[in-house]
Amino acid sequence: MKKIISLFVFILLVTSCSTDKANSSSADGQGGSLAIFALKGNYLYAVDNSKLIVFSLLNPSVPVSVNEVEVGFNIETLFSYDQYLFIGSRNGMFIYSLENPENPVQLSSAQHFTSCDPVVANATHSFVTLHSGTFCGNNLNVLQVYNTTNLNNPILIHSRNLTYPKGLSLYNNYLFVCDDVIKIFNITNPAEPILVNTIEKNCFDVIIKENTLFAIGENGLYRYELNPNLITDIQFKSQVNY
Amino acid sequence: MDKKYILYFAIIMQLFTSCIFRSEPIETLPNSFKPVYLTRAQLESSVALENPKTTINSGKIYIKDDVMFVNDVNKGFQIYNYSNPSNPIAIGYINFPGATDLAIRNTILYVNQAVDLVSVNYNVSTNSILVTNRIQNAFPQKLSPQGFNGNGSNDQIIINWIPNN
Repeated sequence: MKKIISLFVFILLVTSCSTDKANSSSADGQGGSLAIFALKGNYLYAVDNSKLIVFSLLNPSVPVSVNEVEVGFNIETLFSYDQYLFIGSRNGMFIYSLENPENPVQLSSAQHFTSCDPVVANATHSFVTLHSGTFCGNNLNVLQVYNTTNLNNPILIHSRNLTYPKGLSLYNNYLFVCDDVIKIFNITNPAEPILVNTIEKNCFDVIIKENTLFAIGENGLYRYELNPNLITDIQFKSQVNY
Repeated sequence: MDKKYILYFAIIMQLFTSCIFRSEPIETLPNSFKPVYLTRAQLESSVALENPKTTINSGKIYIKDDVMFVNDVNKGFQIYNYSNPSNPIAIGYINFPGATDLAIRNTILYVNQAVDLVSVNYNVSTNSILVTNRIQNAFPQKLSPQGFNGNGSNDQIIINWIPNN
């Protein structure tokens, strides 16, 4: 009997967890790697040039500003993974814990030469592109991979020169990078990404939602369907021209 | 001893200077952009749903279900219905001067309109919007692409920077 009750409780827990997950994923939309906003729990996080700002969404129609955290200079992008925020600035990557959601705490930072950069991350690694722009500082165009298994101590494990890398996105064991074309790297070994495919479009950011890829460039917005079993199988669906 | 301190001081100053020159605009660089201002009243009355535009200056993108928002940098958001993946249809444009990004939870859009955080309820089925909240001065005034400050104030809000000539 006890076993049955335990089993019932267990199933209940599992079910409620998965329901929560489904609700939260369908409630929130999805942005690209250049986003300055991140939604997490009852909070909206935003970055400006120097700060991380926390808004409470207890009443979603009427956000309330509840905290501001000084981060550094030239902040550009915000990415959330699990209970962590990854902040991209022109001077480096900053990692914050949301253990206390209203009071993000900096765990670590990885500094680099001045350059514009977004960051994306998974459970073990963070991927950063640095690109030079007219007003972005040094002449650097690089993809960097950090081992962030220990979020308190990011370790640079790979760096390679690209043409003009900007937005990026993770898809299973692959990393999509907006460069002169969209480059797709196999990152099964994150220390040695291997180029496995390209999409001949000049873009600055991508969103991958399930198996759908949206890519935005100055000249248009492109939609592709990806095949999770075969990365070389990419179906063009549509485009909007600008 | 004193000489040593002077040397350290000189080295530190040198490091400091080179850092500043790397991360901040060089003061002697000519300011090649000028700010575009709206008054606060103009800013707050500017948000409106309009017909889609034929062309935009594309910025950040955001997808919610089958609806895609594409930022028209510092001007607004073009809205597409992607329910047919092969045939996206432009269904509207939200005029939003000063905005560069948004996030969406359920039907509420959170937008950085210049210095404000604006919440907008977007009803897809009726294709209508309602501003539900505005937090004034949640963000600092926009810097120029070169990193310069403009002469923004609470009634002079920088919504864009355009080339001088």
